[in-house]
Amino acid sequence: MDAQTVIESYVRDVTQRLPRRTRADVALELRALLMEELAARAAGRAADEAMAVELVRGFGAPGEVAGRYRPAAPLLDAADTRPFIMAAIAGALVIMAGVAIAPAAGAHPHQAANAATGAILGWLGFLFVVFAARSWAQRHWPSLTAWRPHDPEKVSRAASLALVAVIVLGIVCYGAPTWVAAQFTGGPVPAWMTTVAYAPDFQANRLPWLFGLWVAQALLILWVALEGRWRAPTRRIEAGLLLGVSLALIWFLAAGPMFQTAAVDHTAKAWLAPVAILMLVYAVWKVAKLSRPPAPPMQPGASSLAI
Amino acid sequence: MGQIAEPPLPKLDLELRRGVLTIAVLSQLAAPQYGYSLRQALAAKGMPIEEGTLYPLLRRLEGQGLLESEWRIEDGPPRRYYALSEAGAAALRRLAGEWRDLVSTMSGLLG
Repeated sequence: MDAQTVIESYVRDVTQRLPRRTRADVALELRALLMEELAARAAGRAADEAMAVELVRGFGAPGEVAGRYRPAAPLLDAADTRPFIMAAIAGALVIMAGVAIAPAAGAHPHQAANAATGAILGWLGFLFVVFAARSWAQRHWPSLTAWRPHDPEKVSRAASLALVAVIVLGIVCYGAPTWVAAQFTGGPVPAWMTTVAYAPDFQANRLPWLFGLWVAQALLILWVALEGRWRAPTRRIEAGLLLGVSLALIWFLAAGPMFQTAAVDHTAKAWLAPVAILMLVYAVWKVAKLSRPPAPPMQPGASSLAI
Repeated sequence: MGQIAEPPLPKLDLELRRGVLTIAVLSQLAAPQYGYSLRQALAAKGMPIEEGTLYPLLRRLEGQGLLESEWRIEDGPPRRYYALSEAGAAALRRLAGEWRDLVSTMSGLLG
């Protein structure tokens, strides 16, 4: 390969990364400049391939040089790298834990592993879209996405009441599914409801524990709504109840069938497993966070640089 | 006592120089120059800039309206000559003022 060919291939690799309308013009100029640089380096001698390769390598990798010609906004902000990696790892761990539990719930290990691969790739794709959309929004509407002061301990009473309503609805739907179905159909219970009937032992001895925890959560939310803000004791109770709910769900997975029909039971457990693990991880994180000593408040008048 | 690691001075130098590239380039384009000749001129005055940095920078400054360019054929191959636009000249005056203020401030800080 001669020096001219090296330059040509380099110019082509750089300009292919640029918008079509600017390629020819940049190529013309870049080629002329590189040839001039090469001639200067050759100092009267005939430039060879090695000399040309050294020149273009010093110029920079084609992608890097193209980026200098036309800096492009990154799809993901550099500041999002750590949150992205943490979310990706957390999601992948939950999915993999689901795979570990799936055989116990009746799923074939090979099928579970295949489903997990798809789920992990899907999770990464979902995260990418969310983070890229956020970066894009931050660049296009900086005023809308600008940081605003907020009080994480202050509660919205309307949101609290809505959350309590959701919990009550959950207790009713899970506690008396046939009654709920009958309200919708206005008559007899649909035939398919018999296939999703609870296993008697589960309904009598395990499910009430979950309802008890949910009632406690609803009462806590109402109490905090009345007080207007979260305090350290209510935060601790919240974390404890969350931990209790996640442990109850894991107990459901491990302690015998939840439904009378085996296929329904397997499917329900396959869905419940990742939810229970995710909730447990979150609950443990919350408990650990509350266990750390709080940061000392800044003394009035103290300098931010004081040590 | 452990040995204190040397700070990454070369990178700091690079960052410092990167901040003045634009003003250095604009300062030399009152008269038209093409990329290679401009690089030689800057190097001769103690401001060597890598070609891979300078040539794209010229295009970006042109895209921002600070430079104007035209192709010329004189004693060699066709070359693209760059010169300050009106906006570029105004920007250079403003940047030169800011640079002098900065030098004065830094001189005071460094003692």
